[in-house]
Amino acid sequence: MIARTNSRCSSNPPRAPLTCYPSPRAPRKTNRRHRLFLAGTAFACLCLSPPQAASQQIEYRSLPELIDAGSQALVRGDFPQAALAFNAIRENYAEEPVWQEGQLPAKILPLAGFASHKANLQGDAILALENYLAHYADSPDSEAFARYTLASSLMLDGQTDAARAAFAKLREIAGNSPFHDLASLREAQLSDPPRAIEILQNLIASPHSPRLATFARLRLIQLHLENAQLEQARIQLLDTPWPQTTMPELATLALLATQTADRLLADRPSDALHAYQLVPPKDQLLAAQQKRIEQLQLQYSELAPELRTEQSMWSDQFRQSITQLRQQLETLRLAPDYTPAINLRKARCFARINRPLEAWILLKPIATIPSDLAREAHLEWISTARSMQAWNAAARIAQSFLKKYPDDKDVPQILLWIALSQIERKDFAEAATSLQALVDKSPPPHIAAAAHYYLGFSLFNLANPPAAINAFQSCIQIAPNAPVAQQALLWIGICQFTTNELESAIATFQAIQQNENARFLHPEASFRETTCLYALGELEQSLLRSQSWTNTYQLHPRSAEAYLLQGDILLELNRAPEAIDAYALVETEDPQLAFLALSKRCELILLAGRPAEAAAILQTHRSQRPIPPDQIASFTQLLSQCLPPDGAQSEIQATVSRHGNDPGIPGIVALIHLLDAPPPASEEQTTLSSRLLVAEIQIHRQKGETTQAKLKALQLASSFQKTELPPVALLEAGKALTEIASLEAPSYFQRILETYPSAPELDSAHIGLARFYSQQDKPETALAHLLQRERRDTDTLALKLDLETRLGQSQNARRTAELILSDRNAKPAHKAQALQSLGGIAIQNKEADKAYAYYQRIFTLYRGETEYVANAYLNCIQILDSSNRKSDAQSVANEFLAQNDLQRLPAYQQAQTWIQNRVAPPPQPQ
Amino acid sequence: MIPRLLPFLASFALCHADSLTLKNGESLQGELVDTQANFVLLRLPETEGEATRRIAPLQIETLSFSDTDAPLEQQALKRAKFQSLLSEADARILLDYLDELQSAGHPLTALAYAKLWHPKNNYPQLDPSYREQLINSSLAAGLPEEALVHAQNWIKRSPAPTDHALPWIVQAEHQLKTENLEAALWTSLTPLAYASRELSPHRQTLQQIASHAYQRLGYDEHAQAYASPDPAPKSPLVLDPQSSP
Repeated sequence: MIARTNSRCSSNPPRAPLTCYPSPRAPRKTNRRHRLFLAGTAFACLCLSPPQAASQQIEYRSLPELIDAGSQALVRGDFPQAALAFNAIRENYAEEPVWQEGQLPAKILPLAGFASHKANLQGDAILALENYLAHYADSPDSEAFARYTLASSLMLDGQTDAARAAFAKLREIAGNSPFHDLASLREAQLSDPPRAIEILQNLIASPHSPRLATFARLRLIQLHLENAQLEQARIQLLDTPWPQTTMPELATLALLATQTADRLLADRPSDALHAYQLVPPKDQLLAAQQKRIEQLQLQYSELAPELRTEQSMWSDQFRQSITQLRQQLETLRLAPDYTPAINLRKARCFARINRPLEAWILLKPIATIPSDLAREAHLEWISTARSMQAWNAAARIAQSFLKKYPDDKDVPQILLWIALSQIERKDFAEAATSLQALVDKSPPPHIAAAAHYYLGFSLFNLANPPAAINAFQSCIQIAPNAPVAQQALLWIGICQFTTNELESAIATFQAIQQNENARFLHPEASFRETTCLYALGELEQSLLRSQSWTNTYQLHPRSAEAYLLQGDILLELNRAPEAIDAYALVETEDPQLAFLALSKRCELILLAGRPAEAAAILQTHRSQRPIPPDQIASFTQLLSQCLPPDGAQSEIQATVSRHGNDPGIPGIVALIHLLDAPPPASEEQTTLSSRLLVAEIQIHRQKGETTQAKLKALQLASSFQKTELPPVALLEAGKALTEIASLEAPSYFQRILETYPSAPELDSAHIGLARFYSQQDKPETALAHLLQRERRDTDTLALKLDLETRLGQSQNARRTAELILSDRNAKPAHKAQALQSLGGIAIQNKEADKAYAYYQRIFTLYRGETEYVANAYLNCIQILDSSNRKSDAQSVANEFLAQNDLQRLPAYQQAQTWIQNRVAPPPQPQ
Repeated sequence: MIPRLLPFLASFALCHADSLTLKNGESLQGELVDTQANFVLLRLPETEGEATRRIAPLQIETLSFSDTDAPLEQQALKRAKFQSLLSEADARILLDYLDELQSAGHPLTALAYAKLWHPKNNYPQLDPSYREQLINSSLAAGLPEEALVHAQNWIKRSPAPTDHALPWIVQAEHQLKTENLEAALWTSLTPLAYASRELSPHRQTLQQIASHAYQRLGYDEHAQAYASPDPAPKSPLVLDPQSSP
């Protein structure tokens, strides 16, 4: 305990030996005799020092009275009065023996200095304290107090250098006391940044007060940030844990953490995240700050009664801290909630460190709750979903953005994102619709060019090259000098190649190669040109181009394809040995391409009568790299062709037995057909058993035994679990169930789509579903499945046409019909169907002549398609009849009715009725 | 001798009496007996026999109990009778007792009391402790389904899990167990997304769940990353979520 009285000012012995200075509460007892003596001395001094007296207020009080007055004023906290009293003693008694010979200066000077400092009489304080330190300082504690007060006075007096030196001196003498840290903080405050940083670093390295060390660390971070020393700020902020449960400066920490994190975000997102994680949510920070203030207040109130005058700087420190924290708390309370802003930035960090799910979690609530940040968060939410290639979700989130911000300046960009998401998930029809809507909104040129480009790409994938070319041309028109224009031109060439306009395609690819600004596309255009020449049958020319290409672009990613093409050209030129060499040069990581080249090479070697060589190549290939699962069966088939019969059979048997029960390996059924003795069906190997059944079904079908085939296909559905069936068996079962209109059918097709997305049966599964839903009179669902098909044969186009016609999608139906008519492989039935649809569309458009021409083509060109022929006749009769060309209608009807093979068709009977009505019109009602 | 002792005994009795302060400032001493029809029953010390006073809760400012030296069980059960009128310190005694029951291997009893006392708790700051107790005692009693219900109720109540990760852990573990892997991933990552820098004891558990979920969904690199204290996967995540929070 520290004594409360100043015993040394009384005649009594000291009450506590620790007391060095007159206490603010002393003296309680006065020594009147001594005071009288002192008063007399004082009076004498006063008389002897006229100049001094004249310069000041005349002090009439005696020394004891002055001591009393000063002490009491100090107790009251009346520092000006205390300073007046103590300074009066200092000034009036300085020449007196009582001053010069006794302990009086050692007692009075620090008090005079302290009181003057507090009363803002810094000159007096400095004078008193310098005097004290020069002559009377007698203990480390008192010296420290005096030096601190002196340095503070110098600082307040504007004598920065002297103040800094004084704090430095204090730091030197403070030893291990907390004064060391306090002095260091003040010294740093008065020093230039490099020196301040050095001082604070030293303090933090060996602190004497944990509380001040935390304060110093915060100050150091601030200095580092102000001096663009981000790495040092980061180290101070993150490399050592903070005493967050005890430190009062939580708000300061939060602020500095935010500032540091903001600067780290671009290049060091992980560190930025750690820094943001030091910022608690506002409500938590408010509660914690309030709690810390209460703790500090309690700590101070417990400590304050024990603090001596010379420890008053600690009171000041406590009071300042508490005041500052309260101000911070108030400011924080009034400030808007910063939590969503911090969460938004944390989300950015998560997104950058490949943790998009956490970003998503943080962004969603900010985006969905109305606030200033909602729009920004929504955009970043879309980006996050796109970065995860979560195309469905990205499109959904983007749609919700459009709904919320229909007039936003970024709407075109969002629409483009939606379309890109649809393209990524191969919804080209939806993408085309979205892009068309975007184009119709007249977006800014850079978006418009991109929109037209992707519209072209989508239309190409929708097997509509003419429309795709139009879109690509629009892209070029909008941004003729942008790189995208050259890419669009390349696509135009590809579209032309697809539609067999090979000369035009060559011209397009050559145009790209002549454009110096499109150098990045030259290899691609040149390669495509070579393929066009090959397709045109210009074999020599294409070979030269190909050889030139492979010489020029040896390291190009397309070189494997170029060698493959070269091999194909050489093969066409009957230069098999060279073709074999070209195929051997195909080096690629793409297993499909590698296998294609390998199989072509080996087939040629086999044809050349060197099966052993081919077998050796294949076996070497297999020993060097694993055969991808989807090529195992094809590989085995090829190898078996190169081996003697026994070896071939054992090779096939080995593959069937090793992979036959794995539903994910395609092509096993084909291998089963090659076996002299297929393995028996077994209950242990259900997948293999189902494949054996499929092989039987296929044999029945080849033999025209459709009923047996159907029954066995239904057996696949009834005797096996769906999970046991490979795609080929699922497809057979699904088709058989569709034929009997079983509602179970879709689940078989669906399993192919969901479980075996790379299976060759994928397209057939979509068609199966389309046929099922078409049967169920759900043309919209049926069409949706059909549009997901990548390959389009005429059967599918015919089904598509039927569905589009049923759905009244005339434009699409017309396009599909035209595609069927231009397809050389289309069957007459398909062409007749296409013409009938075109006729129907022409009727809808009131183009009777056109419709007539379409129908006429049916019964002229496709007479074998009786149903279409009959309908076409009837339609023509109706067209002529409604055009009042009765006699022509009669002629057509006669021609129709003359064909006995059409008698059983409803259209025939309708035509008969028409004739009868015409000959004998029914009686009109009266 | 006896007459001289009486005043001493009376003062001793008063020293060890419960007290009740009314809103009008009046202070009553006696023994807090029970509540009856919401009225607090205070047995008043009388020189001749005893009298019980019924006091409406609206009149009561504070209750003060004299049994601070009594076993925790006794203190808690007595205070439980007056739960709506307890000070925060007294209300905490109930939770201390639940902890004691739990540590002593009586989770079912702890659960029963927690279910009884939690709805009557007037202090929002004690709500998490009750909820934690409900979950922990359900788990300790071998009632994971009940723990799950408590966890789900808690999650519904405070959707942003900045403070409490326990219910998210219970929910995520259940989802992992029932092969709802993507949901387990979202659930375990939610508290991690909001987590502060200071490592909570739950962080590791959450990361483990996320790691398992990633692994079983086929994201080995992410699974490995989340097994480390500071996950930073090297490659981007490609995932089209079927369910998101």
